[in-house]
Amino acid sequence: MALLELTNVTKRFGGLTAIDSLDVVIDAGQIVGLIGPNGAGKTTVFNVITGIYPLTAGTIVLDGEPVTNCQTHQVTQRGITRTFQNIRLFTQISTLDNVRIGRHCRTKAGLLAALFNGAGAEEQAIHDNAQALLELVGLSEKQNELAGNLSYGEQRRLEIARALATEPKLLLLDEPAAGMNPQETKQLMELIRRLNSDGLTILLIEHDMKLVMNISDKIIVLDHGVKIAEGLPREIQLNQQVIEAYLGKGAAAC
Amino acid sequence: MDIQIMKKPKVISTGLLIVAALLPVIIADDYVLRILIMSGIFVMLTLSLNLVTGFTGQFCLGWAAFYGIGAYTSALLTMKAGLSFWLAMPLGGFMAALFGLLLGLPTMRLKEIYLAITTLGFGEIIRLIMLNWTDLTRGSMGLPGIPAPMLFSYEFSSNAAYYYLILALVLVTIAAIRRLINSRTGRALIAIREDELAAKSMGIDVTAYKMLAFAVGAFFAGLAGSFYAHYTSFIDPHTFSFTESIAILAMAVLGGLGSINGSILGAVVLTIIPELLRSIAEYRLIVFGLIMMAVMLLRPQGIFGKARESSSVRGRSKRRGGVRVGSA
Repeated sequence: MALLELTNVTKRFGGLTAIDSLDVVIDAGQIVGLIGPNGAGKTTVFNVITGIYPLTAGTIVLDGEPVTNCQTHQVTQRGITRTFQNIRLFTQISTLDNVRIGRHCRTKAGLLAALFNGAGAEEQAIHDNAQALLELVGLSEKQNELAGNLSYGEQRRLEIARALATEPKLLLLDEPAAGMNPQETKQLMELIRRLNSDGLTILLIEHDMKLVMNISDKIIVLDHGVKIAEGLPREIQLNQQVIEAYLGKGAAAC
Repeated sequence: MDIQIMKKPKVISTGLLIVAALLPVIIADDYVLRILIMSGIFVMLTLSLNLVTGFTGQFCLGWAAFYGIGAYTSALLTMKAGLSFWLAMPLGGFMAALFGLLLGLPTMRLKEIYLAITTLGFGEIIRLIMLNWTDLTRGSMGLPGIPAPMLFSYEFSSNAAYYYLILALVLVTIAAIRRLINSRTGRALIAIREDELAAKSMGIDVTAYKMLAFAVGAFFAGLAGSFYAHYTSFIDPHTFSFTESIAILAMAVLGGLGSINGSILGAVVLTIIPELLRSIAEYRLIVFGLIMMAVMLLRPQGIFGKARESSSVRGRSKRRGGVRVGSA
């Protein structure tokens, strides 16, 4: 069953077409890799899905409901959450508070509850949930550290924990392994597999081919905003057009 | 949180509270009490501004406008409509909150220095309305004879009585802002300060929460204005000028943006220092300025603000337009 469906999605910035009539179908439970050379429009795809950029044309449907041109916070509410290529944590507050903020869209307490201390049970639930997520990504011991003081790999994992706190149906990971050492990448791969086996659908942008080929059920290749290939990892590795896009025509001929 | 860590501030704050409650008994001097009362007003103003600037990260150069709106609303309601102070004060707060919502609207699109200029303009517009709507406000002649608050048959007349009233208001403000900051709502505000895009991506309706911060902050500034009007019994538009906005901002920055204790200390210190320096007459503002410069040079994050960790700066501070933020 299709969880996310992009139909004819187009995004133009003035004269530049960043995404050109893109059709993507992601089935529930899949891990889909989105790859392509630098500047292919991968992050732009994330930005239009999450409502950061309005679409020029096309529709986006999540779980049968259109989310085209929803505002970012509404998209999160509907069940799509992302991480960022250039980590965007709340650096000056604790690791635990970062994840607690992730619970925002699944909790309700408002101004009056805050002023009259009326959110005790909900606060406890937020706290417990955040701790459980930190444990899942292996950051329990760092829960009182400022997020900005964590190591690079830890910050990436914290971003995933924070995203998971919003209870997404679809998780978008933007280069989760960037800057990670092989050990960290391996741990990350295990984490992604584990989340997926718990039923989470994942769309990931990644340049680490070993990671992406290993983990994806399906790979979509973008080049200059156009989908040039789609298929199983093995098919993509042998695809002539993909090799050309990455290495140039001459290399493909060799 | 570790209980051992929690205990110490509790002892200190209880001690401070007892001292604050006993002050009028120890000090009978009206001049000193008046300074303390003004400190209380500024604590409310600084705390409320800190909610917007320190915790939510929205720069505001027109805070005195909300102070003025509260003062005029409450004064006019008691004088022209014969309302009791106890009703007029919250209404003054709500009126300020309403304008806070209005000012919150442009923050949807404006950030940093652009927002600062907009809020500066807002402050000036409000002051000019007070100055020129002479039918209602009597313009620069001001509003004299604002009635003192009555509690049953007791009329507030002594400075000691006003002192206890402002002390109560300050405590309510501190409690409200502290609770707000430590709630789901407060975390949303801090998330907006830290990274607006990430906050949105976590499902936070950034516009709504910015407006909420402006409204709640303005409410408490309005209450402070109402108290001021009834305490001094005379207000004119010059009290609510740009200079006053800057003074409030200076208190918040000196104490440490994003710190409740910092706001309290900043407001009290910056209200008292000019008075202490009265003996050196015309040099006092120079010395005052030097003290502020020294604090900012030695502790740019403010007295209670936490140092920004160099590891987390990574070019991010640029986006915040130089507004230094401490930690809650």
